[in-house]
Amino acid sequence: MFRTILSLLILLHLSAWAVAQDVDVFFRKVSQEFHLDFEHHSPFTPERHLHLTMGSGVGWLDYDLDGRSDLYLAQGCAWRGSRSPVKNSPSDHLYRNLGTRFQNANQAGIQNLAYGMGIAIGDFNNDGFPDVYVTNFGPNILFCNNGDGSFSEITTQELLNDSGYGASTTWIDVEPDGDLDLFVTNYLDIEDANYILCQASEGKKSVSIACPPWRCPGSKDLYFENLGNGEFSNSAAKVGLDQGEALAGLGVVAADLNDDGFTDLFVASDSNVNQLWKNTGKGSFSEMGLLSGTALNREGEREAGMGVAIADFDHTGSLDLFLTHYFQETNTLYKNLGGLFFLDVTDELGMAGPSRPRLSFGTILSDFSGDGYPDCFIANGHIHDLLPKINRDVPFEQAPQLFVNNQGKRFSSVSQSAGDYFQVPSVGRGAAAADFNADGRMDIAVQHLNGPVALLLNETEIDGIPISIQLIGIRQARDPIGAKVRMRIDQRDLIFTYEGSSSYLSSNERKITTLLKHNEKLERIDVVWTGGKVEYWEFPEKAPRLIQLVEGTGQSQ
Amino acid sequence: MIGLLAVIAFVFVVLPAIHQKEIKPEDIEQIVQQGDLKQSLFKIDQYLKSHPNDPKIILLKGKLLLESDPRLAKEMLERATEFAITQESAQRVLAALAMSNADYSDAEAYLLDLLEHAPDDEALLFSMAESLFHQKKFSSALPFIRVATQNQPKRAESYLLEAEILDELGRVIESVEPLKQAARISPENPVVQANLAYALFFSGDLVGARMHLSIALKQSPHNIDLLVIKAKIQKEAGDIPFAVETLSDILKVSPQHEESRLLLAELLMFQNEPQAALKLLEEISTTNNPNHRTLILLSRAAWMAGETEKAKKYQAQIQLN
Repeated sequence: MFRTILSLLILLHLSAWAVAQDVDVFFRKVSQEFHLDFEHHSPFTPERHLHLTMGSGVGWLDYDLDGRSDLYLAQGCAWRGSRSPVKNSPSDHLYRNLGTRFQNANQAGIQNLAYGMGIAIGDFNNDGFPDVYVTNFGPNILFCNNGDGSFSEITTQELLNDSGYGASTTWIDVEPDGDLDLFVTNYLDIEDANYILCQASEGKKSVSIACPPWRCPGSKDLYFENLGNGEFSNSAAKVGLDQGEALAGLGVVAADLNDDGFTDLFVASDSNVNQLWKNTGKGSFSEMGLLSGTALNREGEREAGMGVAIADFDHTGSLDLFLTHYFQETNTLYKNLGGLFFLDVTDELGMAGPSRPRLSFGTILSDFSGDGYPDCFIANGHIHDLLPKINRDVPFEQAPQLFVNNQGKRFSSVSQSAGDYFQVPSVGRGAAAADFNADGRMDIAVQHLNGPVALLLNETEIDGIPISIQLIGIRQARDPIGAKVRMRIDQRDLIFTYEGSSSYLSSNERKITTLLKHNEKLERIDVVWTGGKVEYWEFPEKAPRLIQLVEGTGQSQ
Repeated sequence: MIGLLAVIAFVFVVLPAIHQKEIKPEDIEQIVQQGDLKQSLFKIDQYLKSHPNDPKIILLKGKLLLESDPRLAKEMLERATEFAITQESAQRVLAALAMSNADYSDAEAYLLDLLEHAPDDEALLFSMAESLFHQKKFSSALPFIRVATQNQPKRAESYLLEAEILDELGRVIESVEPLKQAARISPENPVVQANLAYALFFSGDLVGARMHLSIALKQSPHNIDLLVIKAKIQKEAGDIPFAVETLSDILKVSPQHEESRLLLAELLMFQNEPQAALKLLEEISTTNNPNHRTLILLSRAAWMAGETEKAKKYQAQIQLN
């Protein structure tokens, strides 16, 4: 009897241990080692103009199709009273990944002299080469990849050069009609000549601060329909995306949130209700934020949405949402129950307390530990730098955070042991993941406000074979953003979305990467293409490292 | 006859006059010290007939009347403020009187005058902060209590008030430090411990929160507010079965406690017991008009329980709400 109880106790102990992390996730900052010398430039004015505190994004793309992910970094610029691009301002940077180092590739035709914000990577003209759309505090820019290692700025489509306060942006094939359309979140309606300025006071002392968003009018988001002939039309009204009041959108993801085969949109709004735009499948959207439970937090309160990440964190097959928020608010994890019913499970998963003392921006849900469950990276840093001068104990620089996902049951902070980068407070903004050294482990690039970019190499000791999946659309967009991928590995399923943009102003590497343990076998991959058509591929033999799945070459269900 | 008249005159006219002349302020103080309020006031009134503008005695009368006749006391004290020698003392008493009567606006006015002459007086600063706090002038209260804690860093009440002000300003994380100071000075104070436990919980320090909550719970083991904090800590720490137990214990004592019922419903859903959660939530919605949080939970619980129509019905109410 005693032996039985002892065995049971050991078993319980072991199973509890199995739930806890079994590898030490570790990142090493290698920016210098890889010659990544980018430094963000957003000099603060004495008045602390709001846009100067918001930072810029990161975009991973393989622009030269050499199999290595290159890096696009949006750049800020000084405020001289106008948002128009200014000569001699530092530009956004494109860095080419040469394998052992990154090389400045701006000579490829990248020049953005406005205040760069969000980055959307997508092959809008279906030529096989990823193009880049950049939002600005000022006129946005579309860079068309010429396929020869250079880019051309598209100047013929004036409507794309909207001069609002562009934030996160993503490509999405709404209809789907075979080409990528463009969605742009606009943050606030700020007038250059009448820029709203604010102060914070404590007793007789006061300091300038960036104005809170509710002091400024909101701004309507934009939707540009790709007409397939190189032209775009402003079609927000046509598809219903102009409904409702102007909000303060910052983050966006495009993904199939209700498993109907059509790509929906989720917009994180700063200090306002978030919007979940359900794609009706008939070329239009209906807003489901409040009904879906994602507009507000569990208490029914609006939160200051900054970034948003998407993944199936608990392996239920549905895509969940994780939002970053303001200081003293929780970041919020919405579990997808199916049928567009979401449930705020932030507290239960252990993500509430660690987020309240931080202001979070960029965030990534990606499997950094190699166990198949998406872990969570968060870039932090306040927007107010002068509060300590009025005796406010609110730090401007805040350490980034890393949480490992314990089999969908709980997120545990591993920041203390994840490397030096996580020990040093900084002012993080955009962040995006890519396996830039093709070792099967997802790495991270993080933008810092007025600071150097951090390239974090994932050195977690994981033994396995890297597998990457690239989707190629034929009848639909060649770059099928919003498609859903199910990998069956030894009877367990991993769900991924072929992601457009996410995080804060950023875009992760599009191809799907995972590590296959040596004793594991990839059995099958199912793809739900945008529009709902399902194809699958089986792998009776050992699967190749790079799996290119071309629409129409798989087996239909 | 003349002799008799002389005696009568001596008794009724001369003697009282002699007697009145004999009352001096120090005599009054002596009587006051003896604790005979009635006799003291009698003597004071007699004295004031001949010395109607003696500020110290006017002030003394005001102080003595505070309990028995606050209106007259205030009148006397206000008269005392007209004399330089008693102005400050009278204003202090008037401020205290206003505070005790919850006339915080009056108290603020007296304290403002007093602080002009004694800007570093810790007691005045504390009272000023307290009066502003009660008037919900939290931003104005903060600088006063900050100077008070600087000038008298060993008073737990000041740190506690600073923390309460910060909490009201929505600056819970900033309240941790003053609460830690208060707990260092007054480790047995259950209010300090409870507040610190909550602030630490809010800041994500669950270990610290647990420690301070246990101290508070030792003194008030059945306090529902403390038990709710306990359940929240257990929930965020992932100790879900313990959180369920704590909430169930609360509901045994206080079955209608709404926050506990909602928390329990959330946990039941997290434990994949949607039917039980739905039952609980429907009980709540019959007794109270369901708010956004309740409707969200109701629709999700119904959805999880496979009751699609019910889920959609509750979902539709969210939109209307």
